[in-house]
Amino acid sequence: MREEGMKKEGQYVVFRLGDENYGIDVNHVREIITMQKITEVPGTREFIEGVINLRGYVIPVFNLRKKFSLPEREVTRATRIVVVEVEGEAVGIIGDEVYEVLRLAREEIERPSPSIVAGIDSEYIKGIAKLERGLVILLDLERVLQREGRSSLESTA
Amino acid sequence: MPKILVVDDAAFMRMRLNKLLTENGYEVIEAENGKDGVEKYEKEKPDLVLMDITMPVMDGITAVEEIKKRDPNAIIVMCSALGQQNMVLAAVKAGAKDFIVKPYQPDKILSTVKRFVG
Amino acid sequence: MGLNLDASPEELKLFLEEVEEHLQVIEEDLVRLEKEEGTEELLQEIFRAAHTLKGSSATIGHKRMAELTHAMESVLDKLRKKQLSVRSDVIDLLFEALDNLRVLKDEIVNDEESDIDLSGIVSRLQNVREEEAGPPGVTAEGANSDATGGEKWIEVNWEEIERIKAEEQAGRHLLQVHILFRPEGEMLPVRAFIVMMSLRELGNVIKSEPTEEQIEKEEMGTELKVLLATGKDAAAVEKRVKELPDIADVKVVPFSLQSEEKTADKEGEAALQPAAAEKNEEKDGGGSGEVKKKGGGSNGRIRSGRTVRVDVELLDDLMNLVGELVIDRTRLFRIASTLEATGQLDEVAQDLSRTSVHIGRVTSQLQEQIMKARMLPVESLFNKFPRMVRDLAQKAGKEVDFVMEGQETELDRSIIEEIGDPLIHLLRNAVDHGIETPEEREKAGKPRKGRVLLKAYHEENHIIITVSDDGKGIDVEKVKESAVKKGLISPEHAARMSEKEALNLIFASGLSTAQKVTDVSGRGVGMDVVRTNIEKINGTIEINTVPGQGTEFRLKLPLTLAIIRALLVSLGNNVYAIPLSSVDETLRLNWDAVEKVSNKEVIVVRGRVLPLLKLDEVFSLKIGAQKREKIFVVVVSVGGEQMGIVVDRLVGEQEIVIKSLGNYIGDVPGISGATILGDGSVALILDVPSLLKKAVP
Repeated sequence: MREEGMKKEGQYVVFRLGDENYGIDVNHVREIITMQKITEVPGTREFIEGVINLRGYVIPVFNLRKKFSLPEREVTRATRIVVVEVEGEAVGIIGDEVYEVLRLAREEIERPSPSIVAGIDSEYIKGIAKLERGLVILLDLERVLQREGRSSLESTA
Repeated sequence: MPKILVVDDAAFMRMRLNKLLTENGYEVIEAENGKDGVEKYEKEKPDLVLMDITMPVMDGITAVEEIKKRDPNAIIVMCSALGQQNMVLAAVKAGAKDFIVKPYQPDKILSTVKRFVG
Repeated sequence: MGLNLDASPEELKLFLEEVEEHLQVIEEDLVRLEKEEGTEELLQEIFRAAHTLKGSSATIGHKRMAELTHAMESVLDKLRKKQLSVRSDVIDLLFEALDNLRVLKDEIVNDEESDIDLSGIVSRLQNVREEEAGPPGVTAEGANSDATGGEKWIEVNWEEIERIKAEEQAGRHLLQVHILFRPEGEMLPVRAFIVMMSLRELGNVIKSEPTEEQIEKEEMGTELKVLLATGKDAAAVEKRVKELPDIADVKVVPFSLQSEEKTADKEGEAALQPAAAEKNEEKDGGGSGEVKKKGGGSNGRIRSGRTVRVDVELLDDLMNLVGELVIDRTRLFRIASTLEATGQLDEVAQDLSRTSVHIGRVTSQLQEQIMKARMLPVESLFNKFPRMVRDLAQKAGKEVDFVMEGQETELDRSIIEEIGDPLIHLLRNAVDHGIETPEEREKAGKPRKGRVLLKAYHEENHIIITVSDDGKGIDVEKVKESAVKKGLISPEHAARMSEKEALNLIFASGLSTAQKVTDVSGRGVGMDVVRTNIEKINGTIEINTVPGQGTEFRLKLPLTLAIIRALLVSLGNNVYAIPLSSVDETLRLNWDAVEKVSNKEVIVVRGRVLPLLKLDEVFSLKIGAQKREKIFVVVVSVGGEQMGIVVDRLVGEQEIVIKSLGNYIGDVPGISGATILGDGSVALILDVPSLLKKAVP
């Protein structure tokens, strides 16, 4: 699985959170939708904003700001939900703005060094691309969204 | 003068049929879809209906069913394109008396009409 | 070079206007089709446009346009009938055809033929059309017959002979009508059908070759033979048929029965042999002299093998789709009633309202049918129990007569999967701890052999499964004692408890562990697990026990897991769904009816003290707790325990489709799932059992 990110060339959907740009492997992205009414689910991990109705399916929406300790921002007309599919499940990720699909050659992607990316645990990062207009942090979605160990509530039968 | 209702969504086709039938001594009423056709039928009580099959709002087969509900003795002739055999059959089952296949040949139309309304 | 079209300038103008209109429709729709918007309607619309173009262009004699639109139309026909999938290359091809059509249109405008070559696009359209198509059907035009000599008697079987005799008694005579159609005639099967209709106006059709069914299936050539019972003479019948178009020849000959009797006898024998009958069935269309059977043979064949195997996943998918429909149905109702309430658009509103009622009905039926398809008799589960009970009894040194009833009762397969373990627990407990040893039983004046009964039956919209034994029953006092000893309840609490409440202690977790089982009359092995599992599927479990006479566990189960009835309530901006199976009643109270008992808020309902649960506190919601004078309380209960949930407003009762929150969210205390409301928003479903544990620890 891990080697997958090391293909010769990759395409990434780039979205903005605050002042940072993040990239998600286009193979994970199912669609990009406008902001929806989010239903809060109590008692879940903090960076799960809630759930939305995606054409009859209930999917969770993640707010990565909370995960990456970025300051909160208002929802604007540019706010989007990037619907990705990870480990067979659809999940929404909030972005302040979604740019474009970026084609990156392998040489353009650098390994993350702690000095460049403050605030984000480098384990969540697959690589970094330096572009003219700034850095794009390529996320390792499986790790970012990592499911937590189940609570004792499960396990009956 | 026998009265004939022409139901077709193509204004061009209606114009053509209208011209042919009027020249041969029939009175012609036009309707532009099945629903319109049913309404005009009720109002005008024509002696014969020439009914297209594929139309918006209400198709010809449904229109046949509707007209037959209102007047079991209605004489309806379907106007169909090649390849619509199943539809024509459905229309005949619904009570249509005959059919004409497009492109129309004037003598065929006239002979068919004549057979039913003289 | 001029086009030489067969139309007046006035007609041409109209024609061109319509062509442009249709081309635009096609273009816009193709663009939308590419984005997969409203595919079905679009395909209908494009098809209609191409179809109309074909008709008009053929009429004015624009052969090339007719040819191209015909090729487009047949591809579109395949698309709209889903015989061909909407692929990008197909759409590209249609765009290309559209561009060509524009060139052809310009030909008319300029009255000059262009040098455009259509053979490429037309043949590619044809290729696409053939691609996913089945074998071509027999076309009436192609089938030729050398039928002039077909002067053969129609043969009849014994059934038909009976009918003929009856007709003759009624004063009608029999005519054999032999019709030959013009091979070049259009839609011969339809023509044949019309001939049959005309003949019916003259009398009764005893039989025809091909049969009416074959005609409908287009299994015919250019001839039709009919045996007609009529009062008219042969000449009149002939005249009537000859009037019709595309008739090449008609012969009408009287028919006599005598010569037929022999053949018919033979036929009667054949009819009794299914194999022979089938053979005849398969040979159709030939229409020489073969007798086709309508009777036993063919019907029998259809009836056998009326079932198909369906993948369970497919049923699950179908159920999901129906779930969507249920949601839309609710939405439609709402729209209709809003429209009606505003009083505008009177006719439209009424139409919509009628339609939505109809859709509602159809959806309910669909839901019911699919639910039925998912049902399995509980037999599949029950079957393994007799052996299990026998082994358990042997091991425990008990004598047990195990009886099962209602194995044919059907239940959704997902529920059957869920209740297996709980039933095993209950049966094991019945044998291990309910039924006494043979010696004990004799001493108590009971038969040596104990009896365990497993029974399933329908009750209204539920399935009831009971596990009962005629053993020693449960000693309620001992249960209380044990609970006090374990510190689950205080001695004072124990003293206040009703019998029912005390019995429900059996389901409390921690009451007993496997080793301590005997301490509490043996009930307790995983009983908390049993209850959890049953409640998880929105079922309930009840105990009835009579000391010395036995115990009965009663499981009340929903028919399906996917859809439940729920009470919708709102709190702040949130809407929650409470499964109706656990709602006892709703109350509207003054705030001052709320009392404090040992620092907990309670209300008193008909002498009963109910703890109150505030969702905003449990879920730590930031809701500006509106201090209203009146509050709504939903009284819920599970296994005899009751509490009141405080809400702002009761929204209403409706059917909801249960959706999982997915693995990323996982189990959330107090929430069992989510559902989608009529307005498209998501509402959480309250997990009443787990909330109850919070309120009544």
